[in-house]
Amino acid sequence: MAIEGLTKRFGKLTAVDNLSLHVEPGDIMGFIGPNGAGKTTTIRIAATLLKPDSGRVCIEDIDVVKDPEAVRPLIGFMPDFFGLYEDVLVWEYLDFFASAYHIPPHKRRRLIDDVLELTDLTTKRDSLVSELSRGMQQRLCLAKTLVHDPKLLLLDEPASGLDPRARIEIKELLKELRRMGKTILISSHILPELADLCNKITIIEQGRLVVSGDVETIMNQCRGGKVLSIGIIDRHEEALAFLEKLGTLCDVKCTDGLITAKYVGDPDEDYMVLTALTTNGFKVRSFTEQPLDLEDVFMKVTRGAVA
Amino acid sequence: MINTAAIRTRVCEVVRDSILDNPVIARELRTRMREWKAFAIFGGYVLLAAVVLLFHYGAEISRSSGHIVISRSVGLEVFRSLAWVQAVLLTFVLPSLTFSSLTQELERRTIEMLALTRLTAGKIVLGKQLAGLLFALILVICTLPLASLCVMLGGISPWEVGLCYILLAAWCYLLTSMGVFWSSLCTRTVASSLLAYGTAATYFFMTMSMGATATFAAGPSPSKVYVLAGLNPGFAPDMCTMNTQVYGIDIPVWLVAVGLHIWAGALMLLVSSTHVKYKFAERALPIRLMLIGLTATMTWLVIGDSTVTTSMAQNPEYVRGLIVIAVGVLLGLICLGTTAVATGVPQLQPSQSIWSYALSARKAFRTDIAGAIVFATIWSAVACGTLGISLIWALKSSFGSVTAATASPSIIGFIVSTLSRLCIDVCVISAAVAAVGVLSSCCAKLRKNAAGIVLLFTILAFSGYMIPLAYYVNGVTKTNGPLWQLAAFWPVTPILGLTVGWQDMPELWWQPEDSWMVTAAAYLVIAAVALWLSPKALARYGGVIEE
Ligand SMILES: Nc1ncnc2c1ncn2[C@@H]1O[C@H](COP(=O)(O)OP(=O)(O)OP(=O)(O)O)[C@@H](O)[C@H]1O
Ligand SMILES: [Mg+2]
Repeated sequence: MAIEGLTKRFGKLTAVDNLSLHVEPGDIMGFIGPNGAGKTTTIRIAATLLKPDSGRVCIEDIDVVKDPEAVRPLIGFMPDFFGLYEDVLVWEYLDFFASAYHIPPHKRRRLIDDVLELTDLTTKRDSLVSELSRGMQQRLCLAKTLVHDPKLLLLDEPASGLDPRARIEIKELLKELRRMGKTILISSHILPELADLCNKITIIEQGRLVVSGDVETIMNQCRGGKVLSIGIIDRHEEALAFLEKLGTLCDVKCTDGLITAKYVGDPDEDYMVLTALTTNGFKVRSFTEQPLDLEDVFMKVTRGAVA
Repeated sequence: MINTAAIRTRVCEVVRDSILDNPVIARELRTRMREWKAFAIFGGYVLLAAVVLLFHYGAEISRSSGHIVISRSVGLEVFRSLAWVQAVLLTFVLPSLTFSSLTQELERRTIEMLALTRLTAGKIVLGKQLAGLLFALILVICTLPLASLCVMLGGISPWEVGLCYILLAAWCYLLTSMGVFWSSLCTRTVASSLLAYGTAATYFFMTMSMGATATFAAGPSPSKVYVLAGLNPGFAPDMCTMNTQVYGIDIPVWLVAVGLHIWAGALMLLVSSTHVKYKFAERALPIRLMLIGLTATMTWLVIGDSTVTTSMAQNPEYVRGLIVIAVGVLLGLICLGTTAVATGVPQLQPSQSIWSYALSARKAFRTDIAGAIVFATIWSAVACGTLGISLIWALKSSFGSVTAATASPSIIGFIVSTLSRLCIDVCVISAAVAAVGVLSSCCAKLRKNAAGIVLLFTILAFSGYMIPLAYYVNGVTKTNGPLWQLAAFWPVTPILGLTVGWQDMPELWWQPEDSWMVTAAAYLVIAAVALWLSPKALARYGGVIEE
């Protein structure tokens, strides 16, 4: 999928402003931004449901504006708010969409069983859709988007409104899809959700692209190096002074006996800090690199404009 | 050579794709049949029909005052009430089967996922309609045992009962299509239900009065009736054996009703299929051709009807009245139709001038509103042309030949000169309506962009009051000239000017015979102003609104 110079206005408001984005086959692209950033708008344009004011979106080299009907079978779109046909059974619901995507009748039964198993709904096969819980409905909607085996999945906040457990279930499901080699564009404003799922992320704000690229690259880029956290038993003041003098650290802070500092030296030589500390007689209890935190990246990147 | 085998396989394919393997039908029927409501409707319907039948039969028996031998046609009598109760009940039930079919998808936000599938707009619309129709047909079929009772009582043959059921089925087809039609045009179920019930009830009462006048005016045992007498299925038991004579040809009334209902239903389904949200379907050509065909056929049938031509032969003045009514009705229909096709978003390119855009003849059968103006003009010309030709034909068949007709007060010349002028007027008025439609679409972002059309219709409707007003102001002896001029905006004024003999001639700036020119000029000015304002409005208030 390729988005080039996409712009969409609603009256005076520019919801998406000259956005360009590339998703390669097999990518899991996390698409994040605060409320009102234009995520839904972008995804709906890509899903042929909204017309852009300018710019192009191509899926497998087909322009979504010029030939929407050709694009539609290629994508599986899951909207942020959706309705289900409530008064049919789960398998009938899937059968409806299988038939609507021209899947021949003799293949439908197998297919429905497969997607039900994938989404862990096999036991609910013969329940009414209206009797499913919210999380199950969300999974059913996902199952429906998989019925026609689309190459590209456009998922708009698939985990919104779910409890943590259901959210983890959805995440597991998406990992399974990643293993199956699907290309996925998934939007969210809940960041940790995407951290171990995506291989790429794109952050937008007020319709403009902020950063886009590999997860690691972006995070290193944003924080400008690693953050070390060092636990020391006593002599905190001295340790602070010592570390600041070391030269390879900056932003040294001490909170509740835990020292955090930004490491700006050679990435492979951070152990030198530890050596220096122990040789100078500090009682080091722990020495770790702070885990990758998308939340920080997010806050950092979008700080200016949110206010 | 026509390849029949290929056609057959193609037809089979279409039938399989759109009817047998249509998931929309399956889902709608599943949903509907699972509810107890469906069976309550079945039960109530048959029960009511049976009760009415029973009471009527009881009344027949008591009328025969205790004698065992009752009238031989009691079956027909009783079947009449069965047809009536079905016609009324169906008119109540049918709109409810489909009026929510597409609005509900919008309201429950299921339409997006439906639109992203491979289902075409046509298949969706057809699925919705067929699901409603199938349910309705089951309802109708449920009363067949009651009908067979009537056959056994005598007075009506199985063949006639079959024809009545065909008429009922056509009624079901029309009203379910109408429900889908409104449901595709509206965004709210409330609005579409009101419109569906409103049009169904209006049509029911309109056709009822047509049938009633035909049966009562034609005497106790007529064999020929007015061509549109059989539209209402309530009259089916009487009408299914009747013929109508059009240009000397006998045509069964039921055939006219079935054909008309199927045509109108198909037209509505076609229009609906272009209004399914997120689905693109461009059907301007078939829709516009079918509209032209429908208007022309209706005009041709009505004018050629023998009841009309006999009264023409007896009273040539009748022709004038007929022209007034026919042109008035045509004008109303065309204006409404034009408004419907003229409201859309202009596809105007920045470099294009609005004049070349609006008057491009190549676009007559394309969906954008530029085509609407040209189409409205062509449509009214065709309608007026058919009216004139059918009048001449009708006169020929009733007077023997055209020369015989011209011998009486120069009817043909009158028709040709009158109609050609009226035709110009009707064309100009519909072009003006279309141009105002263009203007309103150019103001898409003004929420009240329909105001222009409403204003125009108000002018059209109320300027007629200027005629009595003109008399009222100065008393009957000397009429008020300026008020008369205003009356030229009333589309019927030129018709009156051309057809009515003026006794009390008001002091005008022009002769009453020439008022068609004034009307044409007035509406040309309206059209020109609307078009002149359009690009300005487009620049200021134009664009696409999305909800
Ligand atoms: N149909 C519409 N009409 C007018 N404005 C709209 C419409 N849809 C979206 N907007 C505006 O466009 C902007 C972007 O909205 P969008 O829904 O794309 O944001 P989002 O990133 O999906 O936000 P969220 O995280 O809350 O879902 C918002 O400011 C919103 O008000
Ligand atoms: Mg959103």
